[in-house]
Amino acid sequence: MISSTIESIDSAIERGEWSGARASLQQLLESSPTLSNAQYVITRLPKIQDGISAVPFKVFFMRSFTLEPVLPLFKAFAGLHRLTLETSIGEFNTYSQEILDPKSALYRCDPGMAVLAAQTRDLLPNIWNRFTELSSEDVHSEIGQTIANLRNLIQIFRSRSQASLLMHNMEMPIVPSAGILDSQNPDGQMEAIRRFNRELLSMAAEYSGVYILDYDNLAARTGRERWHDERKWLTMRMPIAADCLHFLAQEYLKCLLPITGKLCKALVCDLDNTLWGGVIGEDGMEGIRIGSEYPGAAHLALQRVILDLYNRGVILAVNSKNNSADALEALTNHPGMLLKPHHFAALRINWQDKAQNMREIAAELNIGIDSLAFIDDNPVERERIRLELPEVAVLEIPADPIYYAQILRDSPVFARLSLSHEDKERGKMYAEQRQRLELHQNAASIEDYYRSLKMQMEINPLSPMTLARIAQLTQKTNQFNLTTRRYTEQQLEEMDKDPNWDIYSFSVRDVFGDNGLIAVAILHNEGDSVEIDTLLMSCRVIGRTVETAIISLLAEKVKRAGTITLQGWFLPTKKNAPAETFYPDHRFTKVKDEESGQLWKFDLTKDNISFPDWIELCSA
Amino acid sequence: MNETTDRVCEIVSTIFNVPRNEVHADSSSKTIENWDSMGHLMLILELEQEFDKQFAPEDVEKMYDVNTIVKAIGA
Repeated sequence: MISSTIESIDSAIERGEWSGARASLQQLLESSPTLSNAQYVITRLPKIQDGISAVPFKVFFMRSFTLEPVLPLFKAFAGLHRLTLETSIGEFNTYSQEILDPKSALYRCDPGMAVLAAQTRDLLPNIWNRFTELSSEDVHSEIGQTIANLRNLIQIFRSRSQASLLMHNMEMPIVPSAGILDSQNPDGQMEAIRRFNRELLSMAAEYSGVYILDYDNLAARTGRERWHDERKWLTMRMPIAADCLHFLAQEYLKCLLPITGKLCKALVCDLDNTLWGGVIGEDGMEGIRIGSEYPGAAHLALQRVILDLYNRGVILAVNSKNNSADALEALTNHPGMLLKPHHFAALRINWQDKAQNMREIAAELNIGIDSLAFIDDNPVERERIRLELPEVAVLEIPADPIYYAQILRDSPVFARLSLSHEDKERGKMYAEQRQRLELHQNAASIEDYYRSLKMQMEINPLSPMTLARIAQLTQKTNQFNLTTRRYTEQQLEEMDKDPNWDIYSFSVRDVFGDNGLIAVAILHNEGDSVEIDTLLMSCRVIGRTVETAIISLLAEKVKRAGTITLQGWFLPTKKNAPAETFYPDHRFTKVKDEESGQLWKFDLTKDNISFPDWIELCSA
Repeated sequence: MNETTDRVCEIVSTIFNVPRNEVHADSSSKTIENWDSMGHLMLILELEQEFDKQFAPEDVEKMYDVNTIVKAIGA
């Protein structure tokens, strides 16, 4: 560590220059991830009081080797992502007792995430040490028994703890015990370990919240010879070389961020010298560099990574200082371009301040500023965003575009441990939303706009396929949500079994594509009347009369079942103003006005709610 | 204080989170509270990286004060 760096960071903290100090700490740790730098970052982060609070989180480590030196690095990296980690660590090779004993340190700790860090030599001792003595039956039986033991442990852990469980997979030896002969043998040592890892992966996939950390790939990535420190292993039971510890810490971080929900939802991209080489306004279509030949190939590789992010649900946006027409012309018509305008959900191609553009992009996409990541080749723009909007994850990239693709791919802020159908479609759905808005702006009347959307709606009762999405919507929908009641999958399953409860989901598609499952209604039958326990709708479809179609369908359904009144509460929160006038807008009358909210009633014998004629109702 | 001693004190101060001006050539695991066996392991790892050196296991067991550490680095 360079003491001048320390002095300058410490004095920035004293002067209250929080953003600058935080950025310098990040730079220090990323450029030189040593243990003293980690300790330094850990002690300084609490002094940065920029008003954005850090979230505490507990992690428990079960392990078969000395893992302690990884922890300061993990804590420091997590701290930079505003997570204050409290870590506890079990004894060597005691993970079975820790999981089996309900009073163990593991359960007393009550962590949000538990890690099982075991090595091949501990979990598969015969395959690791005595492979040449084993028959293929011996090999199969060691794999089978170890998997069976682990399965038993996972089941017990799952029944006792809500924590996510992260399991290391098994690394290959540097040199297999039979040397190059092993590569010729389909029943060799390397293949045995690969087979174990495949079985471990399939098993983990059967349980919710159980994930695999690809430890073998981590070692392979730096090189097994560099990764493994035989001297430290033999003297201190620490197998990982000191200069590789940070790779493991960063891998833990990548798993931690999706578990704690500290994720970026959108990537905001600069254009000139980032998505392509050169400046479109000066170099023109022929002059910019993008395509399969170097140097355009470096930018094409970056576009490939960005498209991969889009394909797993990351929303894309552009924030560029350019003439909009020039830049759109390049994105639309340049033959080397992989990313097209239709991939982007928000475009800010203008000459205004990029920080202002960022705010507008967040508002347009209806997501928090802290959900944005930013990639720009220009260090001045990066600094501007960092100082003005410290919540934005600004990707630090060097001057040479050759490194851009790899850095973005390796960035933890877009790491995901699972992917739903909705996630896969999200990038597309947001981009389609922008096209809808453009159509809206061009439509002569609002009805024309609704008709031009060619909306189709589907209503379905709750099913195993939609359970997770319905629970997720009740958990996170804040704006168009009449009662903001949160339900877990288990609670919904219980309600579904009771004939007095009905749970419906609604899906909408239109001319631009599928919006997916976007609304949920939960009804409670109370004899002559039916109460709307929950009615919520994703903000994605607000302002398109979808809510009218929903209430019309529900009214029709319960009326046919002989119900006389349909009623429901509006419970105001800080965020659900968009739903405030829903009941009066649909001619419900107020029957109760209490501090917590109002009860509204609709007499089905006297009035009805007509279904918007621009929406087509489809049967499932 | 020579340069090696100074660098060792600097590392001891950050690893064990004690103010730099409280770490001297005769500071040891007896005077620094956080200097336990796991802290010692981290200190050794950091010293090996900083001075690009591998210490013999017999030396590691004795390096519980700044003076001995400086000698081991010079050896």
